[in-house]
Amino acid sequence: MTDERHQIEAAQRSPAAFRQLYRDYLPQVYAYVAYRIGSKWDTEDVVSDIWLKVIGGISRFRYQGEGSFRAWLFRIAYHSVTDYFRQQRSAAELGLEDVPELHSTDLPPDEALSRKEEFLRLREHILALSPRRQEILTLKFYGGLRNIDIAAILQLDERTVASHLCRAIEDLQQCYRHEAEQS
Amino acid sequence: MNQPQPPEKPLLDQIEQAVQQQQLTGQATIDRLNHLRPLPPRTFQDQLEARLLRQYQPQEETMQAVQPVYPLRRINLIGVAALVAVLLLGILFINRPRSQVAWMPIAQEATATPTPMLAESIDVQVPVSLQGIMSPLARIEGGLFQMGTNPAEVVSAVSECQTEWNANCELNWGEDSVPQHPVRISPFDIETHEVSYRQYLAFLNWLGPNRHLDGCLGQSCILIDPDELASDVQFENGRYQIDDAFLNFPVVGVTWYGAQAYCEAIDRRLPTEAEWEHAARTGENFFYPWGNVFDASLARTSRPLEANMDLIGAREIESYPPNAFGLYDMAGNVAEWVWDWYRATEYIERSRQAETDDPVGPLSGDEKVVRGGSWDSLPFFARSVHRQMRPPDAPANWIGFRCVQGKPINASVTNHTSAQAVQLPADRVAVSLPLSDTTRIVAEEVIVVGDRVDVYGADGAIERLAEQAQVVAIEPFFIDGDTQGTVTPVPRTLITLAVLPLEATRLTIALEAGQSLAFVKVIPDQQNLSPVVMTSRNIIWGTSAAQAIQAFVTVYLPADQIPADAVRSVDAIEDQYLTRSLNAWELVQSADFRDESYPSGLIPNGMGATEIPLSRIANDISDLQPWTPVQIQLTVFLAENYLTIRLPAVRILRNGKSIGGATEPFVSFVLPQTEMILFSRLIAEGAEEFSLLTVTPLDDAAEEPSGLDTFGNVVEFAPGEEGSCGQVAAGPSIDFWGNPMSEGPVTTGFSANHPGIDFEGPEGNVVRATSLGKVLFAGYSSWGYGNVVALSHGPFISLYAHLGSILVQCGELVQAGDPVGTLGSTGNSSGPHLHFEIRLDGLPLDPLLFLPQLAEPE
Repeated sequence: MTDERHQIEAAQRSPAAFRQLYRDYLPQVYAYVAYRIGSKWDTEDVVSDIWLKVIGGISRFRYQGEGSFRAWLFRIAYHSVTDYFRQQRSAAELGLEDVPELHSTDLPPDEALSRKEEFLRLREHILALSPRRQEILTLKFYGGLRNIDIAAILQLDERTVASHLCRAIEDLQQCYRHEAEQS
Repeated sequence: MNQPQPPEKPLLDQIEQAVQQQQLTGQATIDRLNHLRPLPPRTFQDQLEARLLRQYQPQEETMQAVQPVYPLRRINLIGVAALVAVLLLGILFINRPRSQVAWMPIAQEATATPTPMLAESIDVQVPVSLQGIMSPLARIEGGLFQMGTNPAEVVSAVSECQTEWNANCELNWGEDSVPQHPVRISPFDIETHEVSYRQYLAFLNWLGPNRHLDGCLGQSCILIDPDELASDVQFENGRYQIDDAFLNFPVVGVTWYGAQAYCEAIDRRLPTEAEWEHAARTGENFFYPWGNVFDASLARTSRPLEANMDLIGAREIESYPPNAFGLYDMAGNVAEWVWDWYRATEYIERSRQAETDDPVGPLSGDEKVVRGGSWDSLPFFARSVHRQMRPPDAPANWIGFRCVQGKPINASVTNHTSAQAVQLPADRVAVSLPLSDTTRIVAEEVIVVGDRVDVYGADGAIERLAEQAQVVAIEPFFIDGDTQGTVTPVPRTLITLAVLPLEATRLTIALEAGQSLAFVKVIPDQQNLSPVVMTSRNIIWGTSAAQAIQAFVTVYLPADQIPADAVRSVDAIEDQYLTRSLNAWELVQSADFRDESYPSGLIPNGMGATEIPLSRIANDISDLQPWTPVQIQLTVFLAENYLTIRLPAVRILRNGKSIGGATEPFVSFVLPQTEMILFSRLIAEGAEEFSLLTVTPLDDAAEEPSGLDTFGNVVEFAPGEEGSCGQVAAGPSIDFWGNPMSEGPVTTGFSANHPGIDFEGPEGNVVRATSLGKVLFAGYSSWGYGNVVALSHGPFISLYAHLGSILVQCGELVQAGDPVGTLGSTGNSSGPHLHFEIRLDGLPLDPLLFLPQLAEPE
């Protein structure tokens, strides 16, 4: 039995183990949702919602091998974010005060601020990608999912995921190159 | 079984290498992505943790393999009833008694003996290069079988999918495969294997160089490298080739046309959906070809993950054992194109008949049915009854095919017309059905609430077909001469009448107040009734909640020949996004087609015109949020042979005013001559009458429209600006959105920060009006857009920014495609480009929704 399997099956029986699972996976869920949604406040709502679904469903989860829990978790996350966008159509302007914290909070204030500005810029570039690529990129980098899991969540072919991922990174690079040229 | 080294691997490696290379060059970007990682605030993390732990409920028992037991025992019956009810919502009114029996045994008439067919028995027309390698055939005896499935099985399959595979299968994925209905098919021979690359490449090479682009019924046959979704097929040195390791793998990436053309080349054809399903189920009622429990050793699907995650792509043919008919891979491996067009309501339609013989699906459609599931899909999709669909010209790396030799399919197969349910309003009213000498009338499910139903007919006109009336009860029902037949009250009665040859006459069914007549079908014996299927563009309505959606069928036809019932009926109205039941729509057919109020100048070539409104009133759609995309599909049955129709126009109404809408470009259809005239007026329960609306002018026939849109709105854009034209009567409603640039890629897409799309191109290129519209703004803007032209189209505005020069004037009516200016770089612009917007009620929408011929920016 793998560690992962052990951890997940333990989490289905013991609250302490579940807490550990939560602590292990929360940062990725949070980062993924934050990139998709942007605002700190909405991110927290959606993240809570996701974990409530997880706790409601974990006893029925069946371990299917390495990565299957993550795939299941992010399938829930993906659908929750999709639901959020379905209800929330107007894209609100994002101010610095809405931006979630990045890395540790003990950075000097000015550095924290410049990080946030950097985050806003990166997110803006990500938003300029096609919706599909946004989904794939964020699932990959913030969710830490394997291509095959992304493919399963988005009902795509794995090769399509890989090619989208390449193109998304390429596009982002271009954005930054463009930015550098202009400044 | 032989499991050679999977050849998908090199391909996957290539991709991984490419990704890695990409990652090397893109490392800075990747670092940035990793570096800027938002973290949950501590307080949030703790609060959520506390909340979760309060709700924590440990699993009651240790994990044990829960083997799904089929079909019904494990399922909570109340749950099933509720879910069944949900599934049945879409099939209201259907009460074919057999469909109530879950999993009726199939008639045991069908058997099969695999009879490999050798090359010498092949028709001489088959190309020599293909003769030797055609797949063997297995003979499938025809007969009656129960096609499709029932809600309980769908529930059980979804539950298996969720519990066993942790997948998010949904009930509505199975909606189109219910109800189960009896289908009789003729004997046929089916290929025992999915068509392999070896076979398909021989076909391509027989077609000749580059014919893969257009050699299959005039369409593309297959995607080959270097097309998108890199295929493994190469075209080198004048030959289509593939790595030898792939030769015995099923071909994928073929279009439906490519599949059918291959079959035709060897004097075969694609199986119909019914043939395919029967061959897969082998006369049994199992969900999978081997039984009711999925077994990963018998079919290649995407499950279980452990066994399949390292591989992508299909397995070599004969990697899994054949089914009882000797057919390989009827579940999984690659999904298979079949003959039929897809229609979600197909089974519902068929279930209204006692039995369907050799069904071939709808006569037209947008998507073809795909069967059997694949390496890329869950076992749920590999169920023998499951239906998938795909546009015929959209190949996929999980779709292949196999051929059959069987009864030729007559492409102009008859379909029937059907009307909506009729509830007669007040006093006794007669429903009149004018008949010709070749008509059969099937009045199914006459729901008698009142005292009696009277049926009148001319001499010898009507004869009861007792054997088809398998219903709750039916009283003697026979009409002789002009006498009157009577059906005594029963809760539900199915009446099937055959009208024998007679002079055109009229069948009158008289109903008492409160009686209703559901699903009257009129079946012409001639095979000449052509339904026309049209799908609207995506429509999106504006900020206010809509109160009604109306779809209009506009019919143009010679003014002196307008029949009383040009449009016989409108059927299968579907809303693809909302997936609402088609029965929620009601057809209100307008009575007078020769309304003199039509502006005659707007109707081409001496044609008359009418709009037939179909309405969906407020309470149906009040729960729809603004900005919901809607797409409506209409299947229209037209009566006569000279109709030219423009379809469909859809308008979203609020307080009687249009707040959104779209029509397709003008389409012409020539229909075969028929002498049939069918329904007169039917009024649906609760429907309001709709008066005839004015015809929206055709672009090319328009002389000078009044300048008002149909609903008389006045619009203004950027008031106070120098270029503003002030208050202008809104331009005509939209007919068609074209491309503002004849070339030039879209370089920047629509986003929250960029309310339009950018086209790149050389300075001076002509920028064209995307649609007929009235100039609202023409001048230099103060807000950074440089030279701007804005056009009004009903509730929409199209906007062209950064123009080098402006070629239109205030108030001018511009035709679609007319130049409005030239591409430039005025205003805040970093280089020559066109910034193009479409706004609805002032709010920008993504123009790519309207200009579907453009690709998303890469």
